[in-house]
Amino acid sequence: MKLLPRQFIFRMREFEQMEMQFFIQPGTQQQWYEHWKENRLKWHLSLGMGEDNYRFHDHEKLAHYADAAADIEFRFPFGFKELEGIHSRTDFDLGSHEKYSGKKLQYFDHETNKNYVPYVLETSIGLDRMFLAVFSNSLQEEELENGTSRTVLKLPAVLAPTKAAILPLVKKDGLPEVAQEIPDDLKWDFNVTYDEKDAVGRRYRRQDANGTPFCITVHHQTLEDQTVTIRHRDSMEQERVAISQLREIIHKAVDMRTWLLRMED
Amino acid sequence: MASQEDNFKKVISHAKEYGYVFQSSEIYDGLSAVYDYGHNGVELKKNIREYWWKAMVQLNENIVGIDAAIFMHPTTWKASGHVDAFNDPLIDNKDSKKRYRADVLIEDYVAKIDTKIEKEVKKAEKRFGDHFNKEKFLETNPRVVEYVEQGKSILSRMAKSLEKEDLADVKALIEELDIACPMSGSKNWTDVKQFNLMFGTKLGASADSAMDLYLRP
Repeated sequence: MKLLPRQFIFRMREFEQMEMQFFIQPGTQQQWYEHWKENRLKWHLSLGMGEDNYRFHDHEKLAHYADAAADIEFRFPFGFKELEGIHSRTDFDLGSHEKYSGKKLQYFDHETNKNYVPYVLETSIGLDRMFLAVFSNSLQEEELENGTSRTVLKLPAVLAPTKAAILPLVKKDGLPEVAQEIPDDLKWDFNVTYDEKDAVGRRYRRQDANGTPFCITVHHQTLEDQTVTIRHRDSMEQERVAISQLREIIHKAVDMRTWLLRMED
Repeated sequence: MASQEDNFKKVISHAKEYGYVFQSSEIYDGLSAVYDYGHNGVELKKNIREYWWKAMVQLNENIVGIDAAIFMHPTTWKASGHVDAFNDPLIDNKDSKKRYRADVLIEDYVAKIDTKIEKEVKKAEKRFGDHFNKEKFLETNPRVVEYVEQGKSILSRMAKSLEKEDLADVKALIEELDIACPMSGSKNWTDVKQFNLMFGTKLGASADSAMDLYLRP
């Protein structure tokens, strides 16, 4: 499927790019090219979406501005396609802008006492494309032990739009009132939602499909001992914890620090 | 097992059902290749952007942020080469009416040759077991050597023709390789043409003083 237009948000008329231009000393471009190739792949892998879903594609045919170029390709629903580009652009941009603008675009190197037009190493990733990579890879149909199946959106918790859903087990016995206090507190830290419609099992499925990493359920026991159950989206395991612990548990799971530190592994 | 296409359809409908991505202007039958992000989509997109930004800007003391305007002085795009070179060589299939990048069609053809090489390597691996030397096999097996040469010569011819703007030869290459439209199987191709991908507009109050501008690509 490599139709030019119309591949959902893979190829849009209007899109957002996240680009980095790294200015370097001429002659060092090969080493920085390797550095950024490796660094950017590590960033992708830190999200835990499967090492097998990425590969490098080194360009044979170089664009007019590059002396080396590679793509990080991702396994989209329609096969491996470009997700991010890493380009060694030499002094093509700055040299050309010097010529057309008549302004010097140079750096004075104090160590060598010389001026030079910096070389540029660029990384460029489409935000919408990254969105599609994350979204499509996360959407899964799972067969469950009891013979049923569920649709679950296993977004990396750090990226999930809603971090937790708070659910009173039933819509009576004072449970909704107690449950509502939890999002009123957690909302200062996270995007959370409150849901009391339908049976609790259906609400779990709804949050699974929505990509919410945690469901917090308020039971009758909550009224007695201030504990709730917290259900993990991916494992569907539940544990009983104190309401006062919730903030810390969620924070640990969704904090960017935790996820980005995996780049160091 | 569901086909790739079915899976992709599921992704698109799930994105809509759960408020991630909607087609633009849907009540007017949509605008092709334009989409809107709903509540969840905006949040997800924002989180991805922030995850990237932290990794690049916050974690590297020698990287700083910039968010530039979409409009820039027109000379910028002359200097950058976009006005002259921001082109894709496109080819249409006359039967399916589908449009492709000519270079991508050829690269995909070569990717198929690479798959054949991989298959040969796997077969040989099985045959030779622990004694298998992959590098030597790639250099000496006549069939594999032929595949490798074939791939190389196709890509280098394409690179040369694109470099010289010899689009007739790019089309000739597609025909010689017997490349068919992946949708229809048809080999009924138009000529290859360069399309400028820059988005033009005008800036200014009156038609006389308006300045021709390109949006930042």
